[in-house]
Amino acid sequence: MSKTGNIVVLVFLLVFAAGIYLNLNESKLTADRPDYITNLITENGSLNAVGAVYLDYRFYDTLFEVTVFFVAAFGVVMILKRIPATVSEEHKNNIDYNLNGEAVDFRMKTAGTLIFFLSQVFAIYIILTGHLGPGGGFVGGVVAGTGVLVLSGTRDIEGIERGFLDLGIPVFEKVIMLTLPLYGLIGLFVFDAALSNFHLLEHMGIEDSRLWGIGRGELISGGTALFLNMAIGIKVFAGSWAILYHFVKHRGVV
Amino acid sequence: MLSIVFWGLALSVSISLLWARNLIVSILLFGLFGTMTSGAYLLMGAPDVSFASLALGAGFTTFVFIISVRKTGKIKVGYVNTPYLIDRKEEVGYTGFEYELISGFAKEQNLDLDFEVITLEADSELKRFDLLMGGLYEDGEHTALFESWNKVQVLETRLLKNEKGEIIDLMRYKHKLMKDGYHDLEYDNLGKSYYFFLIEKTRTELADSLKAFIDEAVEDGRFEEWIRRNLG
Repeated sequence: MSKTGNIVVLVFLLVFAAGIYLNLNESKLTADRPDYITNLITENGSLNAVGAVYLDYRFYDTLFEVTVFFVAAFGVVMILKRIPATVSEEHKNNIDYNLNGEAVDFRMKTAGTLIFFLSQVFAIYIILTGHLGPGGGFVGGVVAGTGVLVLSGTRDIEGIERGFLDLGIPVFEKVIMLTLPLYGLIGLFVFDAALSNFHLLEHMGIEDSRLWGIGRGELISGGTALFLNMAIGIKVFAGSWAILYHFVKHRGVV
Repeated sequence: MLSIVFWGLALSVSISLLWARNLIVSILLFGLFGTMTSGAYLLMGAPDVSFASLALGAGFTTFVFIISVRKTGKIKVGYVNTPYLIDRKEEVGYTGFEYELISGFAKEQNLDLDFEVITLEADSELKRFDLLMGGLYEDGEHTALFESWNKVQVLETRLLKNEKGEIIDLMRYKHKLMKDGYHDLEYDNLGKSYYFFLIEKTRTELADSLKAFIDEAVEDGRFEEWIRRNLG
């Protein structure tokens, strides 16, 4: 199920990449190239210029950066699934064990939980404000992944695994990989070009209204930057966890 | 301008990494390097890159490395109970020269040791150990074992041969002498030999660092002290 799901996603991405590549013609690559520096603020609306470039003008690169991560996680999972899962003898008792197979005591639990919550709050903050200041989806995803890593070093690893699967994070990962090309297609068919940024609320006639909170520097600004940062953040978080989790489960070693 | 200070610090951290023999220390230095470059990027006006450097270089990789070192940092030691070298007594626990050497090594390298008694005859059983010790010497009987493991020379000894053709080493000979007080058999001196630690073939880095540790201990006098305390 997981394998077919991953392959479907990959085939879809390849077809999409080919389509976009054929759609690019010379005029789009040279003559119509936007003047980023002067147009960035007025055209894109993000305060973070770096974020604006990689989520708008160079989103084709970003899409495949995410795909590389997806393929890496897919490969690790596929290879490690052939190796039988290591069931530690210690897990048969009713004691909680972390991913090192060490018994967990309350000090580890308290410190680990504290670091976990702080890291998650920070990750959510830099993902949500990625278009307003430094941060963004990639960094936020890594911070969140590190938080879970700390948690699994200090709490019951099996409980974390159950929680992760219950939340449906592995499914999220694939859904997001499908959503990003679909987002690109919306740009192609509805707005000016494939993978282009679009300001949906402004298209509906709600332009730069303080009432709706979509002015420059507000949380909902920069068009789709907020959505893309969230998608990439969840993707990186899920991917980093999937790699670590399968290493722990099937090799007993990270 | 201030970023040059950070680059200088990052450079000095990376140079000091070359001399870090302890794995945990080198991981922490690596994390420090990530932090320094992060500060440098921040002062160069690239906060996005700075964040990525901090989250990946200082956070994520440090944790992954520490977990894997903790995981592989457990060494399973199989030992042959040998008086004066490694000997387990009910009240005192482990004593002996080889035990002091290996626990000094483990302390310096942040390794956990897990001891278990072995016999050299159970060949297939030995595969799950990382290190074999306890007065192991080349007597011609276990050549296959000595060939398929990494050897680390620990201590000079002598081999003795009795009338029945049994080969015995100096420590066991001494123990026999102390226990019985006399010798029922005549022993011939076969000449110089060495005690070895046997380390699993794939773990060459463990063998190398153990060799380096022994050389260091010989140089700073700890080796002599262990010998004086345990062997007299």
